[in-house]
Amino acid sequence: MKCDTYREQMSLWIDSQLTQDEIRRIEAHTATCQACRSALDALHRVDRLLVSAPMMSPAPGFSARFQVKLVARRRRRRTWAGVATLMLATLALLMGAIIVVGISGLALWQSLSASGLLTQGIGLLLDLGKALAASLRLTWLVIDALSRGLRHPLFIAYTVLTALLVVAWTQIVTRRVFARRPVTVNSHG
Amino acid sequence: MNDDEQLWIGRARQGDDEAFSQLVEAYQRPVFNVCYRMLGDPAEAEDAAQETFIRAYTRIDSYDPNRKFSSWLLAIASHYCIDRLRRRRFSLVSWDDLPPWRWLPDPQPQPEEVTLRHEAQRHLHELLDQLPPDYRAAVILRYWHELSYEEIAEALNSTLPAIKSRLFRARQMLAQAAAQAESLPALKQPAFANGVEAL
Ligand SMILES: [Zn+2]
Repeated sequence: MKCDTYREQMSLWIDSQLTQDEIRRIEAHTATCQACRSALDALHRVDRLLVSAPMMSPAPGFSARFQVKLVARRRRRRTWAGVATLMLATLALLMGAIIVVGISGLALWQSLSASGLLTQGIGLLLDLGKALAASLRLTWLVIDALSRGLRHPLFIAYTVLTALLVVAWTQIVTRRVFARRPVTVNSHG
Repeated sequence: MNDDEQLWIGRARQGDDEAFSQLVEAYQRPVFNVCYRMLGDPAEAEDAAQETFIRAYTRIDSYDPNRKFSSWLLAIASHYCIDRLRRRRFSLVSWDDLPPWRWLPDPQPQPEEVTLRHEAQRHLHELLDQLPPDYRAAVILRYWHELSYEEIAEALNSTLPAIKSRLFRARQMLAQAAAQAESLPALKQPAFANGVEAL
């Protein structure tokens, strides 16, 4: 047998997995093979180190902390279940709405195109557009005419005067209102 | 397994929380020990042990009563810690790159015995840290929890020959790491100590 095989068996020996015969064979080999003897020593050292290591305990109150965690976990799961249900219901509602809109839209389209209403409707819409454009042009014409007429110096002077009077009156009125208010600044420190 | 335990397990399977908490009480120590030996940090071990019991609680229906309850629990703990170690390896900042504050002794003066024990556990964890997570799990289940080869194979979803060779390789790696640590004592000191000396 090769050294590698003996060394594999040493690990089994430590775990009491070998027969007396196999143990004797390893002992015979290590008696003559220096390398395997020191390998066995090293394995025994590791074994002693592990065997002597204590079992570690958690800090006191472990199961109480577990109960707290379990309750929190359950509550979180319940919240998530609620949110998921809500989202599913919303999604279902949305899908329903899409289907309803689709079906009624299709029905509308069919009835419109079947009765020839659609072509008539488009024609009417075009007419409406034309009327809108015409009314816009009319408005522009009125504004244009007015501005031409109002450029007269007498009218401009009158407008400026009115504006000045309005400003003056506003100032007077606002000053009166503010003067009547009691002074509260710094009253609370 | 004693009769009380059988009773608790049966009642826990029917949704009795009181019975399950008896099981937590009874098995907190081995479960915590697996997590501590796997992860090497008390706070992480506490978290992993709690998670193990949460998983056991939610999967109690999948427990096979013909199996040892302790092996079933330790299997859950081992798998969870193996996953955690693998995730740790792929996370952006490796736990091992962090400053050595985890291993600093508490600021309060401690009896020499406690400090020595702390030192010994640290040394042991540094050795175990050299092993791949599934090797580490096999060693822990074998040494601290005295599971048979068959039970280890079942717990780690592996085969008997694979566990045999895993334990053999793990022991060789540990022997090598121990020899290296003895020949290079400077490496065992925390990094900050060297820094202080340099000042
Ligand atoms: Zn040899």
